[in-house]
Amino acid sequence: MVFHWPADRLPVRFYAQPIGALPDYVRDGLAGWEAQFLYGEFTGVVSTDSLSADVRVTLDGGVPPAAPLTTAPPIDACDGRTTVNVTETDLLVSPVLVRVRWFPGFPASDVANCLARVTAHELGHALGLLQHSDRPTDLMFGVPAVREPSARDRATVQLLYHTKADIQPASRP
Amino acid sequence: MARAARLLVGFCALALPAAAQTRIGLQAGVIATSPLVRDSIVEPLSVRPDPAPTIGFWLETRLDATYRLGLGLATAWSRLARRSPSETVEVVPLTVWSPALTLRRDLRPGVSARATLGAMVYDPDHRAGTLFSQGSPVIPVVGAGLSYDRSVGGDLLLRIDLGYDVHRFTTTALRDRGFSGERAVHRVGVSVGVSRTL
Repeated sequence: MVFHWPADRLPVRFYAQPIGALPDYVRDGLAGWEAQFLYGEFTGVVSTDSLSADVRVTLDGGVPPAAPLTTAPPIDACDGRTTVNVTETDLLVSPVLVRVRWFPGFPASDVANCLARVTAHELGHALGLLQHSDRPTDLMFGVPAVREPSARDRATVQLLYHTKADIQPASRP
Repeated sequence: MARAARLLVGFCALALPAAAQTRIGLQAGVIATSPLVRDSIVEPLSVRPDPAPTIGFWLETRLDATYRLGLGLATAWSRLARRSPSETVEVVPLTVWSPALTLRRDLRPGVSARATLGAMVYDPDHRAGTLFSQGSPVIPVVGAGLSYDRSVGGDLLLRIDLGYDVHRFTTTALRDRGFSGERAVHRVGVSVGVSRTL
């Protein structure tokens, strides 16, 4: 099952729930993925209109504690999930739903770092990287320990965006 | 040495408004460009600007009976496109600016040849997700051309120009991805212009 956003759907519209620093995590995550491309294969924009978004990113758990991002060792103070709905006719139904969730009881910096990592990871799924990597140094590893795509992530997403897709997004409303 | 001195005097003359032998001109045309990048991801691909309309202006002053020195600026705008066997897709709208210094030699009445030294300034509409993501280069360029000037009444001259230039292209983003060296990019253009004395 191969999906990537086609050229005529660029820029892909991402809605980030305006809670805490989630919009910033989405913008940073998108920038990180855009930087993996050289030839305009993918671009995304963060939109305030949830109804017309191709990807909707929301945060469960309430307003997370505010803290700047650090390079501290990764702590699993959050998790995430991406839901992609595909019809029997291989049409992807918008929006792709990305949900991240933070856990109380952790230091604010650990929560912030985790949310940034996991948001970037889930955005990778929203781009079409539907499976996990088996290497902990990759952002697409099942439980991401890094915040930026690795060289291997780059090679994977470039390969994906130059492979003929068998799933197409449904037309925008 | 005498020739160099004449060139220097001529360059200074460009700074003087309304010099008797200085002409100002406008031109419009079209230019075609060879690929900036050749790569292969699943299948071979190339990245190249579409044939582009150009406009420009120039100042030109006569050095002696045979030579003229010019200073000009041209711009071309088009779509930078990625081409592969399966598809052609836009990468980014692209504007290219070309300031240039030109030495022109008369060959016969109305016909002249030129040598050009200048720069190419790549100005993409946006940088994210493109080969310009870490900056756009300013690149030296050399060129040559043939022109035909014809009086169209009064002080006005109509010019038809056929030109070629070449530069070596790379970007920081390409180098970071392991593209070694630079690629020779060739441009061929034709333009029509008018000029008058200042």
